[in-house]
Amino acid sequence: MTLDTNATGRGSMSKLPGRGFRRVAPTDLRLGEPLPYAVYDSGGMLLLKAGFVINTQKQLDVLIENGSCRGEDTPRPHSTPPLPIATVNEEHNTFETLDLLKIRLKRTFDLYKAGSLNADFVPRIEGIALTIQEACTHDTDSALANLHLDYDTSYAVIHHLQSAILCELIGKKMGVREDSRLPLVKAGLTHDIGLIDIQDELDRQHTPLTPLQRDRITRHPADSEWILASLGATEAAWLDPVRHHHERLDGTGYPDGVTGDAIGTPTRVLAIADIYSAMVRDRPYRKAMVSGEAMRKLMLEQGQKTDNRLIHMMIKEIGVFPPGAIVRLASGEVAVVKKRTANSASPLVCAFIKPDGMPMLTPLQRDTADDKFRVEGIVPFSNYRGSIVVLRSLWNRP
Amino acid sequence: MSRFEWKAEYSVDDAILDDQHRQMLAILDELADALDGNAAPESGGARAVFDDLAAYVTGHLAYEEQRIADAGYPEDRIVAHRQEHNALLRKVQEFERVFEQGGAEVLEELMPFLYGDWLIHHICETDREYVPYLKTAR
Repeated sequence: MTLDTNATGRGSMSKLPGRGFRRVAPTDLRLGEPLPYAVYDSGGMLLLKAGFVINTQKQLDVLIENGSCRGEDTPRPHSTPPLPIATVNEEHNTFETLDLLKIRLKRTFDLYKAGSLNADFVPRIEGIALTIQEACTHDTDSALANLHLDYDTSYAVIHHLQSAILCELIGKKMGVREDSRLPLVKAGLTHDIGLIDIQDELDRQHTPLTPLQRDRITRHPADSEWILASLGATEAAWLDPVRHHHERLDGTGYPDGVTGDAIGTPTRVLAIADIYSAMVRDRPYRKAMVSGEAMRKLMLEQGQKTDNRLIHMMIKEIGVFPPGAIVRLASGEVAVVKKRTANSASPLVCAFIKPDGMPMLTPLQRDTADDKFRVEGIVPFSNYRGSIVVLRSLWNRP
Repeated sequence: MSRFEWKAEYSVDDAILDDQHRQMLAILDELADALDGNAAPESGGARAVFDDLAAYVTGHLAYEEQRIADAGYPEDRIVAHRQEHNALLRKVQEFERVFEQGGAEVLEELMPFLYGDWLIHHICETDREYVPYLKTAR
């Protein structure tokens, strides 16, 4: 180890900043051990506090080049008190739980695709479904926000998770008991499993579907039912909604073309959850719709085909401006919806882009009931993806 | 002349990420000027340091997370990397909060944080761990 005090970077390296400073001796520094003193640059500016740990030789090389001066062995007392440590907020756990659920579901699908899951499949899905119920009970806002703010998880994973969460929330809104809701959550998690082997290919494809692909899509509800049964799923309350989630009230759906009352309520719930969560994601043939647009389209276009009462129930539950939605405020700021409130037009939001379009380091809570910060509309998250790290800081634990 | 200059040790062997990391050195320079009282009047002084940190965070961190995911960096290490980004961000948010409340002296603490924790520990150590994956993915 050499100490090159004439290293590049600063012409004044050979100069000591003044009395009380000494050159760092190479023998003073040991990798992996706390610095015994603070290190300053030759201008006397504090670069590293005493106690900083140098872990690699590269770091040491940089340090010797940049800051070759040490203060007195007793660290200089700092004029500022230590920064307060932010308290751990329990509600932040749910946002992180959803991140873990994405990994767990992806792994389950990967193992299934590799043919290495048999008896394990049903317990894995059950575990994920129970965690979803727990997450929704604990903090629905954070669970919804996580999925609305996701931009990098594969469609297959995010679509199934979002469908499952919506099934859970609509079921709860309808007053269905928790254990009775569980099979539909599992259906939400697995309803498109019949397409999972070609899902990535479909996601990348910009050309029209081939006849074979079209056939696979038409068959997928029945295929999914068959695959789930062969993996050990036995409950009718899980398998039936999977088989029928593309049936429509007017009989235009598939695979059986059943109509009206023949389509059970859980199946209708899954159909709506499936359509909504597909609409709010980028697809090869169209960009993701913002949540408000998806809700409007769902009511206008699907009104005759799906259960309107359930659509209203879903909108009432997740809100016109659901958590995680990006909204423009009357102030000109752009904000993220943090929580729903009793008044669905005035959610709790945090602004993260200033009126001049510049990002904020720390998002600021705004009262949207105040006219100055009224929500003017939803904007696509894709315009603000760079801000995801700042947005996550609103939910993640420190 | 810049006080903090680019060194080979900072490089992650990716032109775009290196360019983004260079912005951290520019922020260190800006902060050093503010601490020395040398900041040009039009620069916005210490407030500009936080604005530039916001631009750095939004311009770089999400890009880097996506880049390493695309390069096949293992999921558990991406999660850990994100957590480190989150922790760094939390800390500068805390610095900004204290600064906005009138605690300008907090800037003296900001320098060892940005230099030590962010440049030396994060960029020179944590970020270097993904370098082999970027090379393989090329």
